[in-house]
Amino acid sequence: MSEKIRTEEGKKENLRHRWAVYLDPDLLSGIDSLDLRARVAVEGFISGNHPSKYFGSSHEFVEHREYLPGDDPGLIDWKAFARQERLFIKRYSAVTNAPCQIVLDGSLSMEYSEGGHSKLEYVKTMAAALAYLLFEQKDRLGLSIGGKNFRILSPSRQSSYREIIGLIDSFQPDSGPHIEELLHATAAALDRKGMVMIISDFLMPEDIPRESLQRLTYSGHDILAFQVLHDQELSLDLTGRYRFRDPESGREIVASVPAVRKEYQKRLQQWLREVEQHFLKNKVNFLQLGTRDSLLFCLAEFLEKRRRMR
Amino acid sequence: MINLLSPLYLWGAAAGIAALVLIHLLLRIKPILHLFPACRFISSAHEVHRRRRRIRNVLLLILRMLCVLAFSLVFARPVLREGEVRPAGTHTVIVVDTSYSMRLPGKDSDQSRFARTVDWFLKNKTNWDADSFTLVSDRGEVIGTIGISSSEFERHISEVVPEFGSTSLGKGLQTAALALDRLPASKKTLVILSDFAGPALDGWPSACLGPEVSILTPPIQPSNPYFVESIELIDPPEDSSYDVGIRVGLGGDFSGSESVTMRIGEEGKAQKSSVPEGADTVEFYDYLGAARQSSLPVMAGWEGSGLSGLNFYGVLPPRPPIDIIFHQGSEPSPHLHAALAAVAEDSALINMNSGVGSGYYVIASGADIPSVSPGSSILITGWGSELSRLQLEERLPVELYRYEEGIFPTGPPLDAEAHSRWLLNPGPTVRVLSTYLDLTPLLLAWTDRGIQHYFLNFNSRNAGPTGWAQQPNLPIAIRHLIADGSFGERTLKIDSGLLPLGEADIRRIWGPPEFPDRDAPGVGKTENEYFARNIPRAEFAVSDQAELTINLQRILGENTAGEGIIEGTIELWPWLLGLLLFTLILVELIAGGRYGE
Repeated sequence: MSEKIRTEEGKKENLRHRWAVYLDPDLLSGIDSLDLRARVAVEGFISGNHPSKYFGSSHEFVEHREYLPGDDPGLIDWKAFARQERLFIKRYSAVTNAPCQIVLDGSLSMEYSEGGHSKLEYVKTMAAALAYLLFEQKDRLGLSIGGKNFRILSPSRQSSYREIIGLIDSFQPDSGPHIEELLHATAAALDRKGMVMIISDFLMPEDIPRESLQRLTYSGHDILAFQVLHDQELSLDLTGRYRFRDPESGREIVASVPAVRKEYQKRLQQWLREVEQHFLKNKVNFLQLGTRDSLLFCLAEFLEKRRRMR
Repeated sequence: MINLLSPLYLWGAAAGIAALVLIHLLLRIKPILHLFPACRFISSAHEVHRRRRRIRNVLLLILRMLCVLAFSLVFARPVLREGEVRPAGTHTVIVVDTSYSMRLPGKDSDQSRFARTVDWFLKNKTNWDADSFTLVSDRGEVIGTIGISSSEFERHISEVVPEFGSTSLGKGLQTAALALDRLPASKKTLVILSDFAGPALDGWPSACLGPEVSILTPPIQPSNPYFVESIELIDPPEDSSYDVGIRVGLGGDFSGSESVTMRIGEEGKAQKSSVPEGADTVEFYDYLGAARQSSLPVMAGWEGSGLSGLNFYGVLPPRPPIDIIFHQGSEPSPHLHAALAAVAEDSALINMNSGVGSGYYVIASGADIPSVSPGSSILITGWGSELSRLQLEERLPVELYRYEEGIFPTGPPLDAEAHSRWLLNPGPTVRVLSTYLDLTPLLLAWTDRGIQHYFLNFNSRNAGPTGWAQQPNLPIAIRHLIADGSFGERTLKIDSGLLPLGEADIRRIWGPPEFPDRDAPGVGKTENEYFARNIPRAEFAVSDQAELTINLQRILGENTAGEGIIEGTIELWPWLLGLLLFTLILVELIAGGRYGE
């Protein structure tokens, strides 16, 4: 093992050690094997894993161009010269690191906890896992969080992992700006094309985000949407009669769960299909998760699927 | 018609239902608060369920209330009257005057009055084929049984032949009133086919008819029998002074009438005859209340009656203040006497019966006669007689004037041609309330504090000359007893000369307690002596006033010689138990063990 490889391994081990404070070691080791790449050409500063709109030295051939004086003679395609008796150079795409922004919905609905499962904890773990993955890929990471600690850290700011993790850790949903406003603010803060990862339950009083999503899409960002719902929200597996109160609107409904469960599930599934269709229509990669789902497994499956679609 | 034998149990039902509603409201499950972000999907799902749940809960409550009600009704013992004749549409009771005057031919025609009135009726009846009839003679006999058809009616009436004898429409009206009362037809009509010559309509049966009965009479009688302004005879008797009674209705408003017009003769030849102005020596009490006194000079008489006829129509008038009741009778009327005694509980009672059949008979005496002061109200009942008039005259500190042959010892002269033979003039200081025949039901109705003494005699052997004390009085009198719910526990003494008591099927009747022994002061026999003379007699003790069941079938059957009105009872509690069981099953099916969800 060369010295260089040993150094890289050491750095990674060091990083993993530091992240282990926030993430499960098994999860960390699983994430190590994941690869999250942008589907669009992004504008990075240094070499990385993501396609760039510039020509560079990757293995991905892009085009031939006639040789001009000043070009590197090493790039001349001699086979083409033999066939056509003219000088061409081969051009390859550049790979770069990507500006990535994690958007964390801070509405009160994210605070739902039932049966030992907390949606908030699940979302925090997910955000931390994604942040770890992106840090490991040497991507520049930004964070938008709503709620009490509403804040937007731009990727260009070169935030440290401590800052990012600290914000995720102290993240607390509140009746602050809603996901729609948060996405608008995020779109305004991003100056380069990159990846935007939205983590939310998208349970909005009005509707799913539309305008803000379109704004991000038109800006050329590669958007990933993760919808996290509590299992109780998905199945309504309660018994008896409850006074349900919407934490955001405060509206109350008294209902007997066994009587409304079937109709609830039917209407919820219908709405979930609508949300998915909406994201697909806006070319957003969409993943729906329940709080009982294995985060690592779902992420791996999702990223693999995404890789194959590229 | 459903009656309850023990209606007090319905209070139990009310209390049970109230408790049930309270429990229903209090025991609703209180929901647990649950913060839930996906509330809106519950909301839309709940909208569908909420309506269904509300309907189910209300239905559940109603069914449970029904359970309690049915349970209480089982104890309340509802009974259904059986065998009531319920003809669709109109039921018409026709009272036919079969007196001798109906045989007389008309003035311009050889056709008898009977034929003319029947013709008139047949011409006036339209589309009555679907209706049913009851044909009753003026003597109270049912000629055509209840519910006969139109064709049967014509056959029955063709067999009727007027007989010798005077009219007593009152008895026919008694039977008619009974039939009309018991027949729950949608429309009831009473038709009186009479020339109205001779009798006055005995008022109290018509008072019992009730406002839903329309009365139809030939044009001889005005359309509104409750208020008679004029009387026109379609076939006036040749002698214009022939016993035509003026009938003054009590139910109507005749305050504006200062005189009563009597028309005799055909139209165009009417002879108007009225009481002259100033002939107000009789201060007349109109029975509409103490304040309604009228100086209306009502007087009329007819052959044989001996007294001026005042007839009651319409609803029963309120009881006037009576200070003295004066009864004079020439036939046994012990039930009247008893009724008088009842009314006389708070009245000074004078009763002198000098009748042929019963002799002197004093019911009671509540006050010394001489203590009657000027201005006292005196109720005079019974047939008039010289003796009783004189007796009254002797005892009262007032002058009574006798009108005879147009000569008055004192007081203003009256038109001798226009009026009949008698006038009781009590003078300016004493009001004479009325002279009247059988006041029994009226007196009973007046007795608003319950009957203390009541004695029924329906012994036909002792019926008076006119027979008006015969059996139809009994059920009507009993009905009056029933109508007053304040009697409490009583015993009814029945002196039956006609019906074997064992077959009379009269059981559990409210009645008065033991008739007290009262040795009446003055002349005559005591009531006990009288009672002892009329045997057999039986007593029926009552334990529960709610358990009144009277089977009048036999009584009516005996009395009317026709088909009586069947009245029996069917206990309904087994049906209620079935309903209760069915409801309980329904409740369980709907509730499914849950209550408030």
